[in-house]
Amino acid sequence: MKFKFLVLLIVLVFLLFNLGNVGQASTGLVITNGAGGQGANAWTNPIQAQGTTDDNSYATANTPNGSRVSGIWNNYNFDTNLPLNAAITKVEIIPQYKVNSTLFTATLEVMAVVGGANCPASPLISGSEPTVDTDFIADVTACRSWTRSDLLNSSFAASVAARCANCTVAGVAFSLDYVKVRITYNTPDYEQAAYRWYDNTDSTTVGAPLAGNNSSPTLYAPADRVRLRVLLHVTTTTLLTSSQQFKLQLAQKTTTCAGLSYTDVTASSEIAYYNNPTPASGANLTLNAQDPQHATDTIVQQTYNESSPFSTVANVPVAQDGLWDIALVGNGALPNTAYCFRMTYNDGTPLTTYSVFPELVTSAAGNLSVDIVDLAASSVPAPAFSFTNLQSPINCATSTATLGLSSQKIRAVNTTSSPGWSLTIAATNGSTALWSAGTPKYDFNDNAGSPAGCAAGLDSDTYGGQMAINASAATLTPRAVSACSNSGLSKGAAAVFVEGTVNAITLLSAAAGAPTGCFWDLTNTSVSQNLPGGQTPGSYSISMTLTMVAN
Amino acid sequence: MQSPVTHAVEYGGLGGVPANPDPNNSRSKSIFIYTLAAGQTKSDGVRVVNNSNQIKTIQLYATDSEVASGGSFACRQKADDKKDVGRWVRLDNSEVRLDPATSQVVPFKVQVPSGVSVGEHNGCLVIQEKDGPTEQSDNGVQLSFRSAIRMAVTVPGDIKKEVVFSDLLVKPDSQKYTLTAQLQNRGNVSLDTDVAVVVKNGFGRQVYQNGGVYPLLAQKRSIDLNFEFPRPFWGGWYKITGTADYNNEPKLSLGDQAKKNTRATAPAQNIFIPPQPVAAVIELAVGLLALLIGLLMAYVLRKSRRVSKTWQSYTVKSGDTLASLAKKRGTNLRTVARTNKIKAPYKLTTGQSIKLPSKLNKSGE
Repeated sequence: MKFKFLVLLIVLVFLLFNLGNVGQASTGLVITNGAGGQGANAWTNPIQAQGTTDDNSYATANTPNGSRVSGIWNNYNFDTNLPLNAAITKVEIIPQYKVNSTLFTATLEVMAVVGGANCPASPLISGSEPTVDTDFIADVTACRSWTRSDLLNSSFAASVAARCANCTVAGVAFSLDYVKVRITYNTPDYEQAAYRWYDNTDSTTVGAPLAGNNSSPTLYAPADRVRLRVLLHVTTTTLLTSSQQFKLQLAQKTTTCAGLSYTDVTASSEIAYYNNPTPASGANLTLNAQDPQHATDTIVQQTYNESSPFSTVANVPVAQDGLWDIALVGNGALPNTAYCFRMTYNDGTPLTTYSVFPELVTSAAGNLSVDIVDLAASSVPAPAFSFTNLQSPINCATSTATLGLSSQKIRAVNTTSSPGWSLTIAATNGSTALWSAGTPKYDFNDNAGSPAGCAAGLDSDTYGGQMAINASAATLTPRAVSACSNSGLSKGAAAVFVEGTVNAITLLSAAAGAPTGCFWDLTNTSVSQNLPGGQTPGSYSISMTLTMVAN
Repeated sequence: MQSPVTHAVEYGGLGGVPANPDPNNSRSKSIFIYTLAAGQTKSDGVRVVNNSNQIKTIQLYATDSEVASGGSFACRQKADDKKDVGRWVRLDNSEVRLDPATSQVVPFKVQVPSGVSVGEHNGCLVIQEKDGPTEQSDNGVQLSFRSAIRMAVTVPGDIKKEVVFSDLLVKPDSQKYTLTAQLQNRGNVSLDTDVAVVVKNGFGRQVYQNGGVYPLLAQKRSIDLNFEFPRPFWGGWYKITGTADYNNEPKLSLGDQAKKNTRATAPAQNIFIPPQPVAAVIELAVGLLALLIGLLMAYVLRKSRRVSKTWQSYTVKSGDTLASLAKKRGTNLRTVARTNKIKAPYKLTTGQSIKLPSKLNKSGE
């Protein structure tokens, strides 16, 4: 019997203990502070109602003839002990008071004052006339969406009024021991859950993805502009609108992104915030079909950001993910280096969990280069172009060719930060070069004859022939990202080679104002060659060099 | 489950940048800029970059410069004789081997010989793959590539800076007009010149602008800059102007910012551009409509004048009706009512002044 009783007792104790824990978990963490000061106050000795001690030292008020005595208590100092990331779930103002008579309807009227506004608009009223010290718990939670900043000394105060509507001349004496404020809150639990990188666009939407979900791309040029979209998963309590602000930090990767010393991304950090001309930082982002994904969680869109902090503009319920969009630009980052990123609270406090870290590999050092690439953007091993065949022409004839077929695109690359360059073509062996088929030869830059190139004699050799190149009608295609365009580029006009005068012909030139961090594919440049009649039949060839020069 | 996304890797090529740019001169980030008197030597370096995905052996060499068609800066070939800056450069290494996505600084010296002329001398520092594209024995043009960095060496002395905007040529095409800005640098140093070509329509509204900052090399012949002005839809008279702003302060070198630029202007061109076919049809239709309206108005005006000339004022007497007066004067009620703006039921008041034809009806009433 004794044993059964003992078991029952243990079970009861266990249940009580666990029920208590459940209750605590459901209500959250609690902080109770007393007032440290008072504002406008008609109570006598209002200082006696500061603090939280039940010390039987009272602020007092008398209410003759139905009068009302009000007072403001403030400086609750939640600034120091309410965590920065606290998500407020309950706010209660708890005056402890008593009255000296139960003959009349004597009530306390309680409300919060936040930034000068009453909350609620009409006070909460006590329902009895206690003659011993009694707590009146005025729950003001419902009057607003409480944030930590609402409770700071600069904003918050408690208003307590004593009133006796039906008092006679003598009135009722109120004694107020304290005016405590009890805050119930949760420490939110956010997880950096997924990310994706995109090409930048001048809008609140993003360009093409640069890599898959949770994958790191390599930048093409040192000053590439990119967009990062990050999902924060909400674990414990709803992330309320305007309740939290976040920022982005970066660090050079060592072996992993965890445990690094992160610093803030700023407008001047090595990977910096980028200011797109059109959208305003903090604007609502536009959802994209290729946004990052975290399992099958619902995504709650937040803001597009060109600077920190990043605001919360829509509630994110538990088990859902908030999505933020950040515009970034390479700003002197080390070449060929992996960088890690993380979102933190705006004060730099890390989030609870980082299941992923956005990573980005910077490009190699910027340079100018030119190549001939195929449809898959691979270098063509033996680039060349051929002219139409001529059947043993008796008279001067013209053969034509196309420089830059789609399978052999001229690719001019500028990954520097300087826009000025030119792309020219010239004979590799200089101005005295010749077309050659072994012994038979002809010229590419003799202006003699009519049409020009149909005779020999105006230069240092004894061969006739002249080549013309016209890039003006060629097709110029920029790298398919928003930052690259043909602005500031000009295609070369039609020109002929003339020995000693025009040894190089311009295909493209870029002036200041042309974009950088780009490549351009030039196709379909017209080429023609005049050669005098009676030329010995054969397969002629000549070597030419494309030069891209920074100027 | 998200479908996998594939991304083409975009590799770059071989190139180089100045290793020690002047932080106060942004131009020195992309080209070498020196002011060196005859006999002086300058030590510097070039950062050679391999942005490809393969190990590359890269050759470096210096050449003289030349002016390409259209006035662009160009580098002479390795095979060409070197007489100017190309001859002044001594590289520590003429060849480097670089892993993918790496770079290396190669030091060099520039020694200006005695007796060189005052003004700017240009050359190139060229970066080229040693075992470049394979040459075919086929007929045609075999291509190879290289990238280069301009080297501008100014020998101090009597520096002259002058740009002339010689002409602004307009060449029509089917869907565009090619605007050719012809400029000439008559000085002895190159000038970064901010060229702007502006087209305004007959109402003075700017409809097109193009241009940019171009490095105009010191040379005798004109530099041609071509801009494409899309043929306007409506056509009409257009005024085309050109300006070229440059720094003519002799003490400032390439890349230095002048407090105030000097402007050269081109003679303005006024041209008539015919409308595009659809616009022409619309314009013709609108013109015909306007003509029709004009004719109609002329007719009404003429009629009105005729009334004012031939019709006389008449003071309404007791018993007059508009119908009887019209009949007496040989016209009809509607004409008299419309001329006098009298509406139905055409009431007249004694003493009212109205206009009536002077002519009596056949009965002589």
